[in-house]
Amino acid sequence: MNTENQNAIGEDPYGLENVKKQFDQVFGNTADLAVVSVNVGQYKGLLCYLTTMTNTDFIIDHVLNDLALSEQKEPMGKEETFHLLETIHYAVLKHETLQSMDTVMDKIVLGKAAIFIDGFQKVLVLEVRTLNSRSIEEPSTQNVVRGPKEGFTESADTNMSLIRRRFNNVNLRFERFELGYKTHTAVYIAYLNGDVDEHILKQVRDKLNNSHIDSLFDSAKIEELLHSKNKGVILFPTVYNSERPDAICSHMINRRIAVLVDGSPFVLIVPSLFSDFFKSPEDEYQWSLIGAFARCLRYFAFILSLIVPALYIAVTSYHQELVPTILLTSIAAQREGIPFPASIEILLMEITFEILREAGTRMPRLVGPTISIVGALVLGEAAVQAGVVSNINVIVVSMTAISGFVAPIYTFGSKVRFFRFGMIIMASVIGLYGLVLGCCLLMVQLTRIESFGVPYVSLFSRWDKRRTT
Amino acid sequence: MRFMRIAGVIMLCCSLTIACTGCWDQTELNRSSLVTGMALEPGDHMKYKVTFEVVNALETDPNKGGKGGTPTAVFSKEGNSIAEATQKINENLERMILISHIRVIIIDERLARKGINQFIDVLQRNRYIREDVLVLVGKGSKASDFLKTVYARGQYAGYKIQLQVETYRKVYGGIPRSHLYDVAQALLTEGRVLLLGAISITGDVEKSESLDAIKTVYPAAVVRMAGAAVFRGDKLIGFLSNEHTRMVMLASDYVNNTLFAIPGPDVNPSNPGAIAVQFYHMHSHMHVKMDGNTPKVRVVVEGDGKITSIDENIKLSTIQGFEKVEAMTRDYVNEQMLKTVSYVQKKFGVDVFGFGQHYYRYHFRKFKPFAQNWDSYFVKAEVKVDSNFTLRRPDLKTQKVMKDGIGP
Repeated sequence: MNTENQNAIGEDPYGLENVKKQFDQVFGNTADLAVVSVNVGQYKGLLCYLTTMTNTDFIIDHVLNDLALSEQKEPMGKEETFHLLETIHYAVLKHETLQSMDTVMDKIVLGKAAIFIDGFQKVLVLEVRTLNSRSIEEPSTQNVVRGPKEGFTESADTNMSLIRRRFNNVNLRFERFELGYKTHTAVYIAYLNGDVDEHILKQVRDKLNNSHIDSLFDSAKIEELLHSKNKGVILFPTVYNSERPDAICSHMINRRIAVLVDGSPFVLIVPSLFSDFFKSPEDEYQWSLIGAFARCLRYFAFILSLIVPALYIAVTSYHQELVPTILLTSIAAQREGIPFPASIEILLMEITFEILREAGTRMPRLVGPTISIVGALVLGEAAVQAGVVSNINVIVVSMTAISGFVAPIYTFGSKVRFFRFGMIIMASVIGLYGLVLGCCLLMVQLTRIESFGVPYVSLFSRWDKRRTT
Repeated sequence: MRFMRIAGVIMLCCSLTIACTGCWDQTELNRSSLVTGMALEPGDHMKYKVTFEVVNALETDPNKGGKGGTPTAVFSKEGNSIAEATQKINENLERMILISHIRVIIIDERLARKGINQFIDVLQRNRYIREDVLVLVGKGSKASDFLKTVYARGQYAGYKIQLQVETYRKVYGGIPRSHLYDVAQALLTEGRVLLLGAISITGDVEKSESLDAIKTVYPAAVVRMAGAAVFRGDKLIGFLSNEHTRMVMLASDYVNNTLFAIPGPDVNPSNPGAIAVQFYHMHSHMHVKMDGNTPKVRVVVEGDGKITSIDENIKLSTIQGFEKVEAMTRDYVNEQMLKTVSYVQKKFGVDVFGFGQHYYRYHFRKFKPFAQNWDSYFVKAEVKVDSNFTLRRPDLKTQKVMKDGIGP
């Protein structure tokens, strides 16, 4: 939409013919544009909308019917007719009055309908957007046994309503941003006004406003955007994501900011701390000790999944004196006749497992069972039988794998998997020393990280405000 | 660019893993063998003969069961020092040995009589030998024979001996604590001599070397606990029987659980009805003072226990019955303790109890003049034993199951 187009149009840019021409120029011959001639009172008018972004039934019921009613009114001027439409007929629908053609076009793209009156300078834009979207279902990640079963959907409107329903509070704010210069995707931030740290809020707003991305199809990209300017961040996620409204709301209560992206069921929370990634919403819904126990278990599993294979390698190939004798003889008996050194063996199995996992996620559902058969029987059983890998190795790898899945947030678990390989390499080159060194490096990095000015490893959700301002 | 650098680092790490593993002190488990026992004896041609018990790991795995071979193989090597003999073990053995899992070190009686100080250093200096490894003296047989007695459980001899020593000490107390650090402790301390556990073999060792031996119900040869080996300085001077050892250990507060069989009240030489009392939570402490040149020692032994068996009926339904048994136990233990003390004083003349150590610890300045010749004072020591036993329960039955009898 540029000035050239408008110059090419004749004297009255609001004449119906000219409006049609303009639509043709801007939208080309896109199949989903409906430009319908209607009568508005005694005048000719145009109703324009995108069929893909609106619901035809809704337009017939609520827009066209009312237009028909306006025809029966006694004759009046254009201004009065317009006023009548605005205040009587469409008073209930969310509407606005616009004068610039450019803005009208933009609104139509968002799924609104525009009513033109021949030659009249005001355009009535009506909110008629109804999208077909997935209904609210139980979330597929972060399952709980006890607790709400609702999950976010791809529609930001639904997601906002899910949040609003949980906060019957005037302080809940949604702020709209538009990101992606090609897609104009709606991004909302939600927070409790007054509770939230203004400084952090400003940082988030700045980051969203100053983004230069062309497209946005999932909140992961926003996550990266928010994540990227934090201090020392490559190691662990500093942005929490969840498909569960209850989890998001419980974070918002703790003065966090939620970021919703239209088209993504994963809502983000900033700032997020290390401990957040070990919390499941379910912890709060059951007896506190059980929740605390589960959380401790998750920390333990995190450490296990990080160091077990490395520890196994370090101990069996460098520090045999650390293993109890009986266990060592048992391990030695299994390692008897295995062609590879322990480190290669572990790497082999770890990589095999990663491939298996990757295949399992990407595979079409129908062929899914094949993976478990091949994985469990061929790789587990047969590899041991054939003497390629030892039993203890399979135990170590599977223990690690299972511990890795304990993390309630998938993105966190996947990062841990990555460091595990680092640990394995360190341990296989310089033994326990390498493992300790790796852990130290990780620890140093971990303490360096800040999520929007909040130290990442601070264990409490209510951080010291003085630090951040 | 940055991505390329990271990729480069990852590639480098991967290639390091493949290229460098096995470079330094890495030892793959399937290229090395565990040593679980070590026996030291005088060599035929050289100064020492060192025997290692090397585990054949595959045969010890109960699930795979192995191929019916022996769980261990015993290799001997001679050398002028223990370290030399150890290094030469690979003349016979194809794998590196991992000596960090040695369970027992058995010293031959002949070698111990010459003094252990000359070779103990190699054991203490080596960082792979644990400080809590058992150091035992093999009594009556060659030290290597102890590692050759295989046993039906399918475990290696070293492990069996270690477990046996620990268990025996726990339930009876008839063998002293003899870890490697106890050796160092006893050699360094004042007023106490070194006591090491002694083991001996009953049965035919030659038959026991074969795997057929473990297929019989009655093992051809078994290693048995044989009390304590008494050292003067670093030289072996003799052995204490299990019973004497128990009393020595009891006095030094190393016995926790034991059982006394007390001659019954009606001592009849042909049928000495006995009362067995088992004690747990035993404790003892001693008080030492010098009366001129005579050490006066008071040993106090305490314990809680139960009656395990009574041969003759004693009325236990009243408290007097218990008090009677307690008094009998006291007398018995006091008597046994005094017997042991006088036996040690006469036979060995060295302070195995640690009376001198106690005096040294509590009255350092007073002990100083006696430090040089403590053992000569120990021989003259007057020992008084006070024991205090409490019987907590008679176990399941109060009275012995016996018909009261009716009629006149």
